[in-house]
Amino acid sequence: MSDYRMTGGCQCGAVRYEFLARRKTFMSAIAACARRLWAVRSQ
Amino acid sequence: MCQKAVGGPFAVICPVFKSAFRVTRGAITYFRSSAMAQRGFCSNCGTPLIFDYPEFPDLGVLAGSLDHPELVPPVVQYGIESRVPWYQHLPELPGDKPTYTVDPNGYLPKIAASNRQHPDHDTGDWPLMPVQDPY
Repeated sequence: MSDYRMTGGCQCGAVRYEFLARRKTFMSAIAACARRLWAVRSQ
Repeated sequence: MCQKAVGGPFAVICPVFKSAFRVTRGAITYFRSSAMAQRGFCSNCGTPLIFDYPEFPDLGVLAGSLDHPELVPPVVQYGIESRVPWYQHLPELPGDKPTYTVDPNGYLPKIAASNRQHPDHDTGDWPLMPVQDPY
């Protein structure tokens, strides 16, 4: 499985971040998060 | 709520385990939107960055803040009852030419000469320009 190293940040450059994820756990996290967001999205 | 939080018709959220996420420059500011959730943004320019549910092991990175959002295509939708009615017609709208292929007013050189936006990749150093209210 390929790993992801993703970077990002804001428009002005004051905040930058990165994260690492393995493809397998990444997709599991997506599914878990989608279920939870369904429940709490209005909060 | 997502629409307000991102200032758009929907949020594209990329779940990430908190143990794998780190801020590499500056600090994220949070709006505690409820007892359950907080929404992280840049306090200087206002860019929405993450949705965070402190009780849970992962957070949601807003895909628009990624340097390469094209690498994380959506796999599921939720909250579709809040979808704006014109959403389904977006692909039918006439397309525009690529940005600034036509620049009759000469905006492009002015923007290029004064551009304060961070590029879509890490930089070793970046001069922070305070954002001022022009109104």
